[in-house]
Amino acid sequence: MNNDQSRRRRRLAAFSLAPLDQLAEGLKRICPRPGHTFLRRPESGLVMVRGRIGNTGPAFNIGEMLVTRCTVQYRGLLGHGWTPGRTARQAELAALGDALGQAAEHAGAIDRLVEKLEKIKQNQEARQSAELEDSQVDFFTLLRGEDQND
Amino acid sequence: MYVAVKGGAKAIEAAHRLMAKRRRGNPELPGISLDQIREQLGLAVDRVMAEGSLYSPELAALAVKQARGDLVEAIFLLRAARATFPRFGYCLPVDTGTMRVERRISATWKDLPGGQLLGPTFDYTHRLLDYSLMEEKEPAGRDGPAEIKGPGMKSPEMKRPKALKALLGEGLMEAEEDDGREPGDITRQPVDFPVDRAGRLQNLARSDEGFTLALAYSTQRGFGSVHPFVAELRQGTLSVEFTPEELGFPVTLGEIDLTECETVNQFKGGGGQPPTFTRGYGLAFGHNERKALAMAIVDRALRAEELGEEIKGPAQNQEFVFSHSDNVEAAGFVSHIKLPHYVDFQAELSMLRQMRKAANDDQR
Repeated sequence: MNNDQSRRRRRLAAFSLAPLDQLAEGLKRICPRPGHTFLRRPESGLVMVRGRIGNTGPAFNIGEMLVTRCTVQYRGLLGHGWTPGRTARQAELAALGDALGQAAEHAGAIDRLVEKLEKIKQNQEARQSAELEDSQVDFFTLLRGEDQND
Repeated sequence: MYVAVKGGAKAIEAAHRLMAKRRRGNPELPGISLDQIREQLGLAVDRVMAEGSLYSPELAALAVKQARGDLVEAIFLLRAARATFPRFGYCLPVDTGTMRVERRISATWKDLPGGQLLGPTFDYTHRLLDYSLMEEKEPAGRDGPAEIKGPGMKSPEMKRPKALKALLGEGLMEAEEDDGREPGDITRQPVDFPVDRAGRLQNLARSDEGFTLALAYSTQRGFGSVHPFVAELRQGTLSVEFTPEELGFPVTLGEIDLTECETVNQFKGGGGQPPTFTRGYGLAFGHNERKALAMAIVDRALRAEELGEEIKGPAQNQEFVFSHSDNVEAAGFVSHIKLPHYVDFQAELSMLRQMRKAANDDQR
C-alpha cells in the first residue's frame, strides 16, 4: 500500500468510527459550502462478516453487517464513504471528507481532523479500559489438608 | 398439505390493528424508544442480531420493539429485513486477537498471559431479584465515566494474547491452519451433506440459542462424548475491514461486538501422530456468552466423524443439527399447522368415517 492509500485508509477509518456530530462539525469548519455532487447516493447494504476457525484456521461466515456507502464528487475529485449501519448522512460526510483530503487546499486540515477524531476515540477507549480495570481478577487455588505436610 | 383459503381480509385487518394496540400497551405510559432498548435490553438486541444473522443494533432494537419482546419473532423480522438489502461483498476475516476485550476469562489457566478480566458478567451473582430496580428513578450508577487517573496511569491493555498460544507452542494442541479455501455460504448455495466445518459454523453462528444449548448439554450428559474445558472466553469490540472495488484496498467499515469461545477437548492422535488436545470453536455477534460456549461444544461434537469417534448422540449428527437449528425455519414449520387446514382435515375425517363404516359392516 502506498503512502496516499494508507493516508486515505486512515481517514476513512476515522470517519466511519467518529460520532456523526463531530464529523459534521469538523468538516463544516474545513469547508462550509463544499457544493459536492453525488456520484452514488447513500445506499445501505450488507457485507458478510467472516471469522476463522480457531481464529487462525479456514475462514467461515458469521453473519452479515449492515453498512452504508456513498460516493461524491468535489471539484472533479471522487470521495468514497463506507460507514456502519443505516447512516446515510455519515456515509455522505465520510465521502466528502475523503474527497477534501485529496484537494491540495484542504488536505492538511483533513489530516488534522483525522488526528483529532482518533484522539477522541483513544480517550474514550482509555476511559472504558480504566472502568474495566477493577474487574481484573487473580484466582488462586487453595491448599488442601493433605498437602500441608508436603 | 396446506391448501390455500380465501376470505377473512376484514377480520385479519382488525386483528393487526389489535396487535398494534397491544404492542403499544397502556397509552398513558411513555412509549419505549429504540435507544432505550439498545441501552437497557442490550442482550436481547445481541441475541436478535446473532440469530437474525444481521449486525445492526438499530434494526434489531426495532425488531424487538415491533415483536413486543418476542425474540424469535424479532429474529424472523430481522431475517426478513436482511433479505431486502443488496449484498456488497465479503469482509476480510476478523482477527479476534485484535479485539479490545471487555471480558476475557480462562477456566484452564489461572495465570494466563494477559490476565483474567471478568468484565460485566452474571457469573458470581446470587440470582436474587434486585427489588431496588423496581423503584429506579434516576440511573443509580450515574457516577459518570471513570476518570482517567492523570498521566502515567497504567490502564489495562485492552488487547490480549490468545490463551491457546502456549499449548500450541508445545505442540500439545491441534493447530488450526488456513487452507486458503474460499468458504461456502449457506445463505447462497444449497446445502449438501456432509457439510464442512466452515458451513457448520455458519449455521451454528445463527442457530437458536436454546436448541444449541440443549444439544451442548446433551453431549455433557452422555449423548455424545465431549469433555470440554473453556480455554478462553472473550468478548469485546473489533474493526471489520472490507475491500471496496472502487478503492482496491481494505477500509474499516465500523466496529462490532463479538463473543468468542475456544474449548480444549480430549485427544486425537495415533497412526504415528503424537496425541494432542482437540478444539471446539464458537463465535457469535454481540455479547452472547451462553451461545458461543454451546456453539463451541456442538462444533466439537460434530467433528465426531472426522476424529473417528463413535456417533451416539444427536449433537454428533450433522444433518440433525444443521436441519433443525434455525429457529426461523423451525418456528415457521411448526407454526404453519395453526393456519387453516380445513380441506386436509376433511379428507382425513371422511377416511376415518369410511374405515369405521367398513369395520362396522364387517362385524355385521
